[in-house]
Amino acid sequence: MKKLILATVLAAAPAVYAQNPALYECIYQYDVTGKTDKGDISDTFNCMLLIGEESSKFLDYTAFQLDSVSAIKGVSDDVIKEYEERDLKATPYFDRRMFNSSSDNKLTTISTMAPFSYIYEEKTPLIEWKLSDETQTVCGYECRKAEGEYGGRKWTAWYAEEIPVPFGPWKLTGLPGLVMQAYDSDNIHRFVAVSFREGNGDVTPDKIPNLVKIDHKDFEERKAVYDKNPMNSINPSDIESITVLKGKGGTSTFMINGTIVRTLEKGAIPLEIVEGKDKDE
Amino acid sequence: MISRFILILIVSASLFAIPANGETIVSGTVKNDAGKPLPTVMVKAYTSEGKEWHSKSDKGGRFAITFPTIPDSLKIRFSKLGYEAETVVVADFSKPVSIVLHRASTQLKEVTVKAPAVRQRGDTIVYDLASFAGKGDVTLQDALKKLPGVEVENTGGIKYNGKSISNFYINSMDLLGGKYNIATTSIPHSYVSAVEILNNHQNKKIDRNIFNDNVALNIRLKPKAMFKPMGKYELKAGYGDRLMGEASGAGMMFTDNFQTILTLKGGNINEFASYDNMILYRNDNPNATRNYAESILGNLSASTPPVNRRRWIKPVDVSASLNFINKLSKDATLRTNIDYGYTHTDYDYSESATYFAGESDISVSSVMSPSANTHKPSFSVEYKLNSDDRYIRNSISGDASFSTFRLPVISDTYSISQAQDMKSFNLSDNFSLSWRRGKMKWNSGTHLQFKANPAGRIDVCGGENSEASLSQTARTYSLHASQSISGVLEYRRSRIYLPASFTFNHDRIHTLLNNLGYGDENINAGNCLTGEEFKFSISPSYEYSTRYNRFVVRAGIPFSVNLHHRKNIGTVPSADNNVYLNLSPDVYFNYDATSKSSFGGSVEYKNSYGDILDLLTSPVMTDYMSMKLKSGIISHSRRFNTSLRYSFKSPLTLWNFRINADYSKGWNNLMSRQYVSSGLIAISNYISPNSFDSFSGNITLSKQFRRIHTKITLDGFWNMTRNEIVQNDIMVKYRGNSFSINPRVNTNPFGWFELNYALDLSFTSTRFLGEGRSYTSQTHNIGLKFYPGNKWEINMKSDITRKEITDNRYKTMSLFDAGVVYKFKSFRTGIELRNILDCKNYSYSVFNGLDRFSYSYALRGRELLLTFTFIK
Repeated sequence: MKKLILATVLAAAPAVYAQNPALYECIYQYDVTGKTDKGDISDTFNCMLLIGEESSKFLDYTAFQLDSVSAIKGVSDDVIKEYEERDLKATPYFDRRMFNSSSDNKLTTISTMAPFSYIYEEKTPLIEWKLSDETQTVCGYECRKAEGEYGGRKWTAWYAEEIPVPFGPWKLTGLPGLVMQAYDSDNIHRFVAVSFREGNGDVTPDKIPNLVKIDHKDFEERKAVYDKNPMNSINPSDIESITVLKGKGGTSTFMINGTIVRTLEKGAIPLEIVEGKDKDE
Repeated sequence: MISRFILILIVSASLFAIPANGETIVSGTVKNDAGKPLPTVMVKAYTSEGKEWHSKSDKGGRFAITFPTIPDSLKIRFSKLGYEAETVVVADFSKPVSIVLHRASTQLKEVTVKAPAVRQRGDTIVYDLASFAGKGDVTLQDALKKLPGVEVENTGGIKYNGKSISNFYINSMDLLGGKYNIATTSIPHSYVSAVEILNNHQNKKIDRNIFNDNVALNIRLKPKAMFKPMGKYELKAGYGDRLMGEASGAGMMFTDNFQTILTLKGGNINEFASYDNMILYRNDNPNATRNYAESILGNLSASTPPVNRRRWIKPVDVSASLNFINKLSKDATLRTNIDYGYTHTDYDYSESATYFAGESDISVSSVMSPSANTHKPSFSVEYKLNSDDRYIRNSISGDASFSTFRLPVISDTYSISQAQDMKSFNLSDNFSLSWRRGKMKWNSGTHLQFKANPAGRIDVCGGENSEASLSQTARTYSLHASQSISGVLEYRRSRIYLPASFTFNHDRIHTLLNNLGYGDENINAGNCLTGEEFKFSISPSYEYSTRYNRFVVRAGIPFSVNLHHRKNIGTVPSADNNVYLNLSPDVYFNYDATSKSSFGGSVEYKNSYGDILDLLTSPVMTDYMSMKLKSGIISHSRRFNTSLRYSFKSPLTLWNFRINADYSKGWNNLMSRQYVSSGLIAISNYISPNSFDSFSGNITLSKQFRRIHTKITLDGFWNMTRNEIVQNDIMVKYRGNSFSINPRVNTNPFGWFELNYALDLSFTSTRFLGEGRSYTSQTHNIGLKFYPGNKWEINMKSDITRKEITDNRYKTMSLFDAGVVYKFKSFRTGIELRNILDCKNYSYSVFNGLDRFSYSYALRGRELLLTFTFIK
């Protein structure tokens, strides 16, 4: 079993040689507050944006740490295992990896619905931003305000012109500066930069094996249903192996065929509201 | 103005859009030094009027911006990550713009806006301590008081949302057990990065799936505080009624596998020995035997006026502690704690007691000057293996206490000298073991304890009859052994617990009274008690919990058989050779309605039988005028308790709220009887079934306003009791009501100013025989701190007390302190002036059932203190 885990970890890790170095990295605090049909959610997570010259990568901070550790040559299996377990125990709320290539005008999303990992692409820009002259300081940088709509939510973003990249957290990209803070009009999802520093990671897209290509809408529709009850959505005939890791407070994390099954106690509130469904509020 | 700035723009994807009528395009290319095209260059065109257009370069370094009309004086700024930005002025709109960007020589600034102040992940709330600590805070305890939902009581005990913490960890290691005051008063808060509140904490990993509403605290140290010796050292000197001094040092070291704190303190300014070594929670077997000698003889000098002890106690204290914990493996630790405390206290007060005696009251007034000396050494060694599938713990602990108390009393016509000597020794071993086999989990526990009080003694001489003398001795020995085993069967979301235990107690109690002339009669009497108790109990209970313990319900029917074999062959013989059956069912539930609020309650019916002290049939005197004895009948009480609670916590919005309501109804077979004459107060009991009711409710509310650095806390408490008592052969039903409200504010709205304010408003009333008595009191504690610059701190404190001393006679007292602190690197120097107005007395009165006691305490006068602190 250990071999399986390790194989997954190593496969999921970015290439060891930095082809596309991250010049800077930005840590965002990601707050989710709202209601699902299972109860109230009020949680705080950390996400990481790796910023390269032409591209960016956005992922959960724990997942990023795991990547970093795995990418170091000569790290013992025990250490990788420890981070792997940490990753599993602290079930990531943000279970996606976003890769944004500015020169190709392309945004790639990789996410899982156990037992498979899926990939879809979108053409950028995704959002028609309305800029305004309001300013505020976020994480030491003067930011300007912009508003736009995507995925059924109205977003307000604060971007720093001083950091001249069209990147930001999740899909909140395409502004003339790094997005340092963003929130939707219902104040359910909030991203705020808490640390901007020199980067030492890599912005190359993750080489995850056996990715299933899917259409954007199709994925988000299925994902919203899947997140409500992951275990019910899994086709038993697809299951080859299950690993169960006991976490804190009686929660369990499953890995099916080496893919994490994120079981959230209170469900999840999607960042994107899929059309034809009620607004998840 | 606004329209001038609010511009609508699309960061263009259609870089090569064909211009519509009247539109103008500026286009061009961006290249680097080597002539290669640069993509992802942010292109911003702007005019002097403040209009803006944005675009970015494509793969070929090309860009284009479309304008609705030809702008005047257009500038274009090109910026790209890792390159120097360039600005050009566009004169000719028909010509493409070519620009070369050069590699930047400077980096963008790195910013970390401290870690988020509050984080929550599941049951754990993480507070970034630095975001909450105030400028004048030194120790961890100072800073803990500022955390949302956290309260630090006068004993040092920490509560989260109204609930006392069940464990205190430093970097997840349990160095101090319940003696965590050592850590909170000696660790500087600057060494702590985060404080974690662990809700629903289960200290045994093997039980982690079992619901528990305990709260624990974990202190995360900063990396800079690890792997090197550190410490906090303090010197104080002062002058007031006498010369004063205090010296203290705390050395500590924390690594991943080893932690230690060593403390040494001595001085005559403040009391700290009992505070530092106080046990604030116990994870041990709570059924430890009682300290019978202490409950028989009491403490001559115990007295607790409702004014801060530091105002009236003149202490001499010494304390020392050695604490180590070692990680033996991933899950196993070995902990050793050794401490010693010495306390000497002096104070003076006068008492005027009015005892209800039927037709007319009896008043007694006197002046007392109590003093106490106590030495308390103790040790404990604990081994713990806490893994996912096994739990082993053994702890050996022991303590001793040597005390002498003096209580000279001077009344209008006579003077009496009273002295008490007490010695106690206590040794115990606790062993517990949990393991899992299949669907069953097993717990087993063994507890052995030996307690001895070989030399309890009270001597009294002098008085109205100067020939009178009294000596009272009490010697007690107790041996306790218990063995318990419990199996837990888990099936889906249900659990069945089947604990069984066997307890054996052996006690010996000897008392001897030689009273010549106190309380109107000469008495020579003794108790000679020996006894064994065998108790077998089985407490089956059932628990059901829904997923993630959202709803938990537990019901149990503890049943026990107690066999008593006890006799008193003293002056008044008595015996208890009976079998008692005891059934005490209970139900408990907890429901987490949302992630923020939970609702819980319990109902229990409790049956209890008296202990060996019920056979104390010969009189015992605890001072020159107080006598007690028992009827020899074993007490039996039944109690019906219900309790409801609702708690709400929203850590991210910094709201905490808790409300509790408790109701008890009880029935006793024995009634307590008090007989009062001018020379004697005798307390005994006799058989007469009676009942009592009690209702209490309390509220805790706390809210933090981060923007203005303000924490507001409100505590409210209400208690109502109905009781029966017999005094001087008159049966009296009385009703007591007490109500108190306690709002507190800590605010630090500007960097240079901090205010602490606490109000304590209370109202107490008793009503009996159709007559009511009541009194009110209010105390205000006000603290102001000013920080002119980073190095100075000016503080002012005031305690204002307004109390009813007798019916409708109020007395207001104000005490003021002030001080200045100067901070330089790791040093702090301070000058403090206490009790500036030199107030000498403090008076108050209380009701105890039917009686009223008025006290007047002598206060410590004006004092000047110099403090010098060094933190490394």
